[in-house]
Amino acid sequence: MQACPYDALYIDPNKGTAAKCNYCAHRIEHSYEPACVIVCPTESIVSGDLDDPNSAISNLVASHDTTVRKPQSGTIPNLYYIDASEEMLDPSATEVTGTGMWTEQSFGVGHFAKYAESRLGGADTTSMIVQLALEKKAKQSSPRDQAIIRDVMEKLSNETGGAKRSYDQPSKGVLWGWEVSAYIWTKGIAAGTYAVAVLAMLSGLVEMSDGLWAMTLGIGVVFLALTGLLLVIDLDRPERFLYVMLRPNWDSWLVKGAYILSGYGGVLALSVAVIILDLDRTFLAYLAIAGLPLALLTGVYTAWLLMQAKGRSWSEDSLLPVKFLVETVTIGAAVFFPLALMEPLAFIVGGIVLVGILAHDKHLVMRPQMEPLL
Amino acid sequence: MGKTFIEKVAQRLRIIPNLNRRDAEGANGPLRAYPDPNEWHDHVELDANEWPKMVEKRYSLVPTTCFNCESACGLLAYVDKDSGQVSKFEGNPHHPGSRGRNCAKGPATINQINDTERILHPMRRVGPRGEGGWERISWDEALDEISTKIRDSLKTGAKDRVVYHVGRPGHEGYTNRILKAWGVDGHNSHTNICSAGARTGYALWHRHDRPSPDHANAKVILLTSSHLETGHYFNPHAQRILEGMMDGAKLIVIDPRLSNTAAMADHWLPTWPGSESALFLSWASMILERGLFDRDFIENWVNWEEWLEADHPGEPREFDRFIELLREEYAQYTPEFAAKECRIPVEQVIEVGEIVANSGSKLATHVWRAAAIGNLGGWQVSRTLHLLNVLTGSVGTEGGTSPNSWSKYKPDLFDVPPDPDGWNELHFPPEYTLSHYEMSHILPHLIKDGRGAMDVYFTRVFNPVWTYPDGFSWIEMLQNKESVGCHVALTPTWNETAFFADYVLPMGHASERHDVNSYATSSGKWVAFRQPVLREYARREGKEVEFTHEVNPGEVWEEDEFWNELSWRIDDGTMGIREHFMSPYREGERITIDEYYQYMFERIPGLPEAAEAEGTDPLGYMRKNGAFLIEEATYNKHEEDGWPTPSGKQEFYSNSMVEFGYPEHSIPHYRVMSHVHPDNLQGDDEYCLLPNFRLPQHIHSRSANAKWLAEIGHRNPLWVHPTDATKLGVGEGDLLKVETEIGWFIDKVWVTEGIKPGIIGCSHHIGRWRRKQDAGNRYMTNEVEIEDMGEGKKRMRTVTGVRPWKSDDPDTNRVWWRDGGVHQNITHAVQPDPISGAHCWLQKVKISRPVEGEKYGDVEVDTNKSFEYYKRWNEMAKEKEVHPRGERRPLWMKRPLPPRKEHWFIRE
Repeated sequence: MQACPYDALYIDPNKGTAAKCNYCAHRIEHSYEPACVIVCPTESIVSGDLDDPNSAISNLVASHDTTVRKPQSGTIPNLYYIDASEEMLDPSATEVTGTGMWTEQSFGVGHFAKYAESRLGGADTTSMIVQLALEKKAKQSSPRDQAIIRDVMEKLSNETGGAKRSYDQPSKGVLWGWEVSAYIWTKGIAAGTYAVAVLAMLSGLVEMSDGLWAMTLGIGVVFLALTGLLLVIDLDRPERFLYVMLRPNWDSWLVKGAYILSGYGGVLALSVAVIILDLDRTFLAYLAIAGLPLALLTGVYTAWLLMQAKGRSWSEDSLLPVKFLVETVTIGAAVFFPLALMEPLAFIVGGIVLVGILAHDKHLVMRPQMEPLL
Repeated sequence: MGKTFIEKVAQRLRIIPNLNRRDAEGANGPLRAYPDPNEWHDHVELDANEWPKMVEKRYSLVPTTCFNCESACGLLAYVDKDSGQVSKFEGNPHHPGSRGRNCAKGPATINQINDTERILHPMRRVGPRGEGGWERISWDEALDEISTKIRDSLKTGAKDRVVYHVGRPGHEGYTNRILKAWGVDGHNSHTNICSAGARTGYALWHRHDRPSPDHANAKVILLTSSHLETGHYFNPHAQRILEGMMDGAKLIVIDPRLSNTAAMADHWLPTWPGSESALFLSWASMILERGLFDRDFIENWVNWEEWLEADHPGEPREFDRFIELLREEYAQYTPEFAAKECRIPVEQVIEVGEIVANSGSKLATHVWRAAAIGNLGGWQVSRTLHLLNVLTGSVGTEGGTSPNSWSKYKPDLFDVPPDPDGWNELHFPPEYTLSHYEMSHILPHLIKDGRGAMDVYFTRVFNPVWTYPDGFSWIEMLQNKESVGCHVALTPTWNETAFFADYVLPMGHASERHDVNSYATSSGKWVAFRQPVLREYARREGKEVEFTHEVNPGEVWEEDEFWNELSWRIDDGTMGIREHFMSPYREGERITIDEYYQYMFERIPGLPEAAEAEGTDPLGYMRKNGAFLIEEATYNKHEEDGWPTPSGKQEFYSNSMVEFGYPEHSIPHYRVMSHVHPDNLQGDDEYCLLPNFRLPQHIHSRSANAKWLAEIGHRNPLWVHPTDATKLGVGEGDLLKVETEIGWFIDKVWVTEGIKPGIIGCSHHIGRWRRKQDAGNRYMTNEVEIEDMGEGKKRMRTVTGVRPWKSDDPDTNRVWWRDGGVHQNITHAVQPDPISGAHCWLQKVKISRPVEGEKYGDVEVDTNKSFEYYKRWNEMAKEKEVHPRGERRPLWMKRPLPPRKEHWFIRE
């Protein structure tokens, strides 16, 4: 849903799954035209086979000037418009005031519909949309949040001097909340601790005792499990998390990431087995041949995932993987070295770094979602 | 993208569902639009929600017509064969008006069917009227009690104390026949606040009181309307206007507001309300000056000689002389004059005038509500608009404008009782000699004035407390048992008027009732059948149903059967009512609903033959297909039938206007200035309030429980032009106090360039409410508190806006809006036009900032003031009241449910 440059996706509140127009696939499969084509009183929507040069739609596209939405986004759209103005196709070309001519949003929709009851008190603030964006639960917003609200509202209502948007779908709010920033942090700990440990061992900086291995692997396993838990509970349909692995679309970093996590988890599990079954500790080094790259990939893959969200500013930050790599190593060091040194000062410094990184992760996840789509 | 190995294995191991598409026919070859009618009883579709799993659903498609506006577009109800219930509504390709397509209101019917707050059983009041106490009763009890009250009233000999007041008829002639059987002049309607102004203008010309523009074939489409005529023939007209435009027609829209239609127009003329006649006359003058008129048509079909005889007796009765004199008569209507009155650029007047003047026989014009009902003298708008059709020779032509009666089918009824033996002066008071349809909006005021009372009052799909101006006067009337002995509300949902009833009887929706429909939506003449779909489904499955309430949800019934049963029980055997309910097929037996329609359909030209070709009878054909095209095109019928006027021609000169006291209106002129003419708005804070425009996806009362429609539109802010906003010192979302002659309301500002400066727009379509003790329509209704402050003053405050609630339908808890708008209608003073009788909707208002303590949604009204105000407007009619030959009104003009001829005269 972050990837769609058109903000077309929403969470179906009845099924908890992501949905969008699917060209009435259920009708097409029985050879009926899409419902919107049939019902429109003025026959404004034309559907058909663009691969057939003799079809009505092909003729229309060939004989008229057409526009598409966001041609630069790489979506290769098959939806053409005749006689559409910029204001009709580009949301940023119209002035937005937060309300519509006939509508005024006070509660969340889709994913947020479940909070309906508890939000009654909060509907009197300037714009419930922004409050939802901050994932607050039905309380008056604090002064700091009010400042953010003002800031966002200002961005929304840029004077374009042009057309005013009088009707739009209700805002779906911010989709990725605390679970996502938290999982990036826990994953960083899970991957970074092991990676830094292995690097320290290979460079001879640290002697890996059994106790140190136990703590490193233990933290790895626990935080990887936490990561998995956060990933799953963030879903509106948690039981479907398996689909990522069982119906893989290899172009997606959601899929590649899931397999990387599994691979890394496998290495951790085998490493734990080495300790528990008291096997030769050199196996740990052999496992690290796969483990180190997997751990680093575990920490970094989220950058590539975020960059696939073409609708958001993450996709424009080509340095994001490097930043994630640096963060993984830093967070790993902040956990590992205090454990290796057992110095109170190290723990304090490490703690500060961890908190700082958590705050940064929150900002990283939230900020681009509150900006208009690219 | 093929399936990966992992996915194939996982599917085979059944860890994930199998989504193979081998079974899908897929989009190989052309796609169909609609299922073949021969498959309608066995239609199979994939479940949209289960997709991509291929789950088949079996349906029986039953045609009916939509009940959510007047168009009666075709619908197909999808009856799920597993549950036996209707799942959804789509279009009926067989319906000649809608041709398979619908506006949002059609498919949203399913929301109304499944509304968790529907009234499912007959209800009777417990405790005082309006307190909100209700108990469930049986249909038997309801029928017995109400029929007794009607019988008691009829036995007194009164012909005007049992009244049926209808909002949306949705049928042809059914209830009029019932009223005739009872012998009462008891039909009242909503026309008075809707189209009475336009109708009067048209009727003066040719008795036909409604236009049917042939948009699809027009060269120029000229609309004086607030988006597709404020809800009349939305879908069918939108289709044909676009067709015409795709073929090169020019669309001209006259509206002070930028409606959806105006936004599509080639020319948008934001005229000052009420000035349109000046514009049309300036164009008429242009046509005459340039000799662009249709000489043949005018010479042969217009009563120009009568005008010469009356106003220019010394002149020769020659057509050319007539033209010269007419040019002189209309010389005052220059483009400059029009530009000044209308407050639009003179260049625009000339440019658009040239387009209209050169449209020849293909000028399709339309006015129905808009300026004709908004303004004092609004009837001049339709009269002068039709003049343009007369001059260009586009009356009754292809691409022109015909009378609606040419393409509207009037059904043959199995029995026609005699006309009522009395004249109801609460509906047609003597001082309103030229009014079109009943003086419905001053009913409470006439009663307050001591002019009569009602024993039994039916409000049917009619919500005057909310929709009408001065709703508090209606509440006063309804709460007074002397004025209204018994109030029966026939309605599919709760509404503000039903709160003040004695009986609330649930009547079915589009798929739950019988009706016959025929409307002039284009040049074709068609007839359509609205039927209880589950009844038809039962019949297809071999089960017979005796009464519709057996298959409808709960005990929801329908008016057709209810009226029959009620009428039977009214008659104690001595009253001669029962004889009008006997079967034409079975001697001595009571007529059934099937027989009623069977008789009618057998007599529709061409239908028996079409039915036979499909191996069925006429009733069977209509049950199966839902509609029938009687005549493809209905042009130039005057060549055979003439015009039904005293002269037999188009009455350019109206002798009736002269005789009934208005010689200054003998011919079309712009002589009455609107009550909101700029000359009447002198103060800096005085504005014109423009309330009479609707939202495309709502109707006045019965769409409030349609969740999909409420989601699209639920609030009605004040449209304020940026220059006015600056003047008033307000920005978006700020509150303004709008003060009318009788009260005020507080609403939020919506700054827009889409409204003419000097005019505040606010849709009268939104602002529904219920009090703490009331139920229903929670998607749209604010919860309000009404306080009687004494001395006629009433206060309404919004306690909460719309709120989500828990019910069997999870969507009720997902309501994402709170703003239910503001009920402005109740603050409008009644303003009956002395000639057409129409309520002039536009209000002269004072705008100010609210003071401390005044909140959004607050409303205050003084009904003592509104009564005084009514008397001032009523005086306008009284001072001109004249009855030539003792006639109440021109004998040749239409009147719904016309009484016997002797009652058309005032007895001294």
